[in-house]
Amino acid sequence: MLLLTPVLILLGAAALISLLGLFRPRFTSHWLIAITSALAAWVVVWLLVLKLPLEFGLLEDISYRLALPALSFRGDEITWPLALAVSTVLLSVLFTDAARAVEASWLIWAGDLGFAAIGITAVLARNPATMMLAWLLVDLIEMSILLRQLEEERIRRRAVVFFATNLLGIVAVFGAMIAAGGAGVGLNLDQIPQQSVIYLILAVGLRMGVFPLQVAFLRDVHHQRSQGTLLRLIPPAVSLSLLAHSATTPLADGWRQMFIFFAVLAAVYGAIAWARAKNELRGRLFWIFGLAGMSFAAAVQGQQGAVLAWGLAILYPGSLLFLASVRTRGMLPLGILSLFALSAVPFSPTYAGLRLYYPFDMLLLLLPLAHVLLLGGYVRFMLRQTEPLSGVEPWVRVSYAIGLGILPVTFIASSFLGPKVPAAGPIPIWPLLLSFVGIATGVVGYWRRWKIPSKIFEYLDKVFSLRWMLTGLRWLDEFMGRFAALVTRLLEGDGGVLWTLVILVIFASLLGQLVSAGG
Amino acid sequence: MIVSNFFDQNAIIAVILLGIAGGLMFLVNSWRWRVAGLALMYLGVFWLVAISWPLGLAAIKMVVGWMAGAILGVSGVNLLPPTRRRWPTEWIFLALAFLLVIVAVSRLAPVITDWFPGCHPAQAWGGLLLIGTGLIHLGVASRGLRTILSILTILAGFEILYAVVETSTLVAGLLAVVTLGLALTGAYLLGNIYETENAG
Amino acid sequence: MSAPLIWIGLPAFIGGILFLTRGYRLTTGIFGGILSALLAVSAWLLPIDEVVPLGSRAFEIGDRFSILGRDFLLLNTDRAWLLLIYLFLTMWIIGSLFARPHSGFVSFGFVFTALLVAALAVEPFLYAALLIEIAVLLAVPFLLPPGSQPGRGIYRFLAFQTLGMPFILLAGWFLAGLEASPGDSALVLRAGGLIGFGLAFLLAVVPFHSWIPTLIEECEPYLVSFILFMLPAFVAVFGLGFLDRFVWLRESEGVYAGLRIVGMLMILVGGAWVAVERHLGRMLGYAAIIEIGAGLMAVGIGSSEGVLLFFWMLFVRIFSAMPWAASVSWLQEESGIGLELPNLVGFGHRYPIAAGILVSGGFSLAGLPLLAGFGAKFAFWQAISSDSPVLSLAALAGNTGLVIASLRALNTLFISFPVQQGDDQGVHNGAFYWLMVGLFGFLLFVIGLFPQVYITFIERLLFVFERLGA
Repeated sequence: MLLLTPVLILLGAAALISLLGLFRPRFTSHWLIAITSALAAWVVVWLLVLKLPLEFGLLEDISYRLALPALSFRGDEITWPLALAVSTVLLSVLFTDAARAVEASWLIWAGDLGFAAIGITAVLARNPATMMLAWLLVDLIEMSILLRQLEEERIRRRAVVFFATNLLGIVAVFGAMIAAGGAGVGLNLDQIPQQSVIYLILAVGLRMGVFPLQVAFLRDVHHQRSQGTLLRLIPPAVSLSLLAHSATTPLADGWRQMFIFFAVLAAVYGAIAWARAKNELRGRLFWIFGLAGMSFAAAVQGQQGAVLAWGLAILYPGSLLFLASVRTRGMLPLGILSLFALSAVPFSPTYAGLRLYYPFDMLLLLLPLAHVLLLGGYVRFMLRQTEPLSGVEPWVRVSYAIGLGILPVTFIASSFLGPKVPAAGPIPIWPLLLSFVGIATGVVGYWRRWKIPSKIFEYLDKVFSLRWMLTGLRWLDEFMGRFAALVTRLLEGDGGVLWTLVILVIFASLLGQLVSAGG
Repeated sequence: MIVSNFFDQNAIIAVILLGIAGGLMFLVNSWRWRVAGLALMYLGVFWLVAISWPLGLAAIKMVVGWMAGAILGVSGVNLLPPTRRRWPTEWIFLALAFLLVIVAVSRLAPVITDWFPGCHPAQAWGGLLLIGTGLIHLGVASRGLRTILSILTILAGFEILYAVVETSTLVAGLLAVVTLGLALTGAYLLGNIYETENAG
Repeated sequence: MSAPLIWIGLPAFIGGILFLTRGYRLTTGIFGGILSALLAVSAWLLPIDEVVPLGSRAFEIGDRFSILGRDFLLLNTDRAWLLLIYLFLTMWIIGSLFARPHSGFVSFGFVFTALLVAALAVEPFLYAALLIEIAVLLAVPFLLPPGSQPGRGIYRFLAFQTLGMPFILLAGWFLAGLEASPGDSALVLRAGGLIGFGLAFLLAVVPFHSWIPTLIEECEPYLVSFILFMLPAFVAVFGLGFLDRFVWLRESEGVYAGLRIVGMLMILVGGAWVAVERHLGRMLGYAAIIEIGAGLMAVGIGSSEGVLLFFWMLFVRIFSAMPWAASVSWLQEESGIGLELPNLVGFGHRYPIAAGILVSGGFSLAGLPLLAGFGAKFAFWQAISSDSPVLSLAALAGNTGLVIASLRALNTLFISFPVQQGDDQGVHNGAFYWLMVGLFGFLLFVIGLFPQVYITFIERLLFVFERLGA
């Protein structure tokens, strides 16, 4: 039960804030309750590291004749860093909300606490049932918040399509269960059979928007800072746990190449779009794609530690930039610290991420380029200065600075103090050298004012935004609809019974063959 | 006994009767002729069932069948506009389909006599002929009197075959209830068509 | 007093009485619900064929009722099934207060259920086919009230259900022959084939399924859904009776393989069609086809676990299918226009709760987490996978059609805004509406979370089958 203490703290606080908001309209200290509970949860998550591994199960009965869905959680070297990241992002959101008081309300804070609580629950999930339950809760909350906020029909539709791909991710987990059953074992996240891993990686790919690339669905959906950051970053975080677990099981070679191709595609396209984005909020989606692609590639390469390193990079440095609505020269050190965490140089938390390049694969040569572009975009947005905080009390400035500072500090500290993830193979250095070459080229290009024709980017956008895929899907839907209507007219029309008899004869002969073949 | 022998020896007449009845119901447009065909069909059914059943019990089939015809006849079917068949294409198609049924029956009848020990060849012919005609009829009719007649035809064909193996009074009673129920349901549906078309 | 009188005769009588009071819709509904619940509770509490002391006296409920030389037999082990059936009827009656089908629904529900219970209780059990046929004939006037134009669906329903009966009756004769000469493989094949065809007609197995979507489009969705729920449930239990009684059927791997393939085919066909369907009522019909297919696949596992899964899926289906059907009917009545999706654009803003239940019902039947159907489908996918992973994956693909259909409904009902401005203000309803909504919502969400709580009750249903459930 100790494992779920942070979740209970957050849910309790969310309930309290909601009750106070509904029944005590004059009460004004909602933020204080929210920040206290988030801080308490964060401290508890930190303390859990002393007790790892921790397990907690509810209604588990593995001896029963049928597989009953039960709740099961585990805190270990994979799930703990993710839980810490979610609780840190929440804390950071709430701290920085002090400076955005006009945008926030008790409803938003209660929502943030509840959403983060479910996010932590999802990352701690140990079995498929718990994971799917938590995933769907996260998805439902995300979609209902989006549908309340979005008014333009075109964008609302995209939110539904995104929800649909998330649901397909859940269906893929059912597929993984079936594949595991075919191999004679039950699906357990501790030991994933090889037959299931394809479905699980597919599930994560669908949920993270990497496979297939779902730029068209998600673009323009969300541009808010505080809650928007939580809404955008927690869903990938909850999928990361499964991705890291899947990394322990090797993929068949054909699948491996295909998944690496999609991962590299997502990473490169995401990184280019991120580097060219108008601002960090418009680029947030591409930031996630870029780093999720790298994390995804690490999973396909079977490197758990690298999955986590790049996955956590989505959350920590990303949140810092997305939450920093005020960027002054005084805050630059925080940005530099974050940049260090993202740089993959030795002693940085992403240094372990370089293991994704082991074993070597030609396609991976493009990933250092993606890394450089992500860093470049980060520097670009970090250096954009805004008006300083004015007209606020001094504690707000302190709160704001703490909120931002806690992100890189926690990222770096947890990489040293947290449990070590078992690693396979050496850390290759060549990607780092390649990145330096890339950075040097970028600096020279910037200095010599090299220009890449924007038409190239427009063309790339056309291809990678996959609008053509949407058109294709629509066409397929119409074709299927017409075909179904034709068959329906035949079967339900005047000569329907005769057609039924004809189909019966066809089925009977097919069935006879199938049954004799052993079903 | 003498009567039973008569039915047995002249069973071919019943098969011819059933063929005429099936053809009438299948090919003719007039509802009167179709209901007359139904009555004729149940006469044939009675004849063939009487080979295996006591005469009194077999007569139930005929009485119930005629009652079904009467129910359908007074259901309002006479008030509905007649359906027209296209000459000659539709007629030729239906006649060929009917012929196909006869050919199929000639192949299947020996199998059925093999399946049901004690089954008179005429019973197999009669039963299969009705089932085949009913199925084809059902295949080309999607609603109205034709559908009800086709269901009754299939059921009558089955009753001939089932009579060979089952002589239970309760089953006979329940099958009679089903036949009457079908006729009543059909009459109800036909009445509804009349009501709605009149209201419209 | 005998059990058949209590659970067959009494409901039929109640149905008759309630037909006379059908004009008072609410009163009839409430009384019907209470009486049905009492029948369920009595099935739970009253043992059959055992002496029950009541103060200084004692009474005994006999298990047999004879009429015209034939017996109706309800054993003590059937009580769990009776409880479930009358619980289902109670739920459907409660749902009818919300769905508002035509006034005869409650009385029809009682008589229809009584006839189906009689079908399972009659000895020899092959007479069941005749009683099922009579129930079907009775259903026609209720599906199509006077003054409604009959379409193709009702005729085809009548035709296919009637065609099933002769096969079952003939199979009975062959089965009797098999008891005399058990090793006759030709007889086995004939009997098996006839049973298969008979059940295929009665269960609307593909390709005999075309009446389902047509009928639901032509008649009131709630009424058709009730029949689509009750009839296949009873026919399937009737079919399980064959497996239980005849060892050559029970031990034939071909039978189970056939069931798995046919079940998969139904899920696949239903799923493919529901995914592109644009009529909310027809979607319900295809969902019923998928569910029948899932039931067949579960039985196709070929063990008591499969039968347990069949009953479990049946039990949770009530919490998904009934609210879904009720909200579709409610939406049809409130909107006053057809159930074609293009007519219902933005209706979710006007009737958020009904539309929400509708979408959730679909997701629940598909077995998505958080909802009633999750636990059973979770166990289902796991259980069927070991026998035939390829068929299971094909079935999963079909099941995904249901998810797509629900997303399509969600997209139409909630994403766009109504064409007429000001329509999205929401319709305010009375306390009764909210009571219904609360009940549906509670059951739809809570049942799925902790199946451990009620699974022991489902296990009791296995006692209905002496050998199959062991």
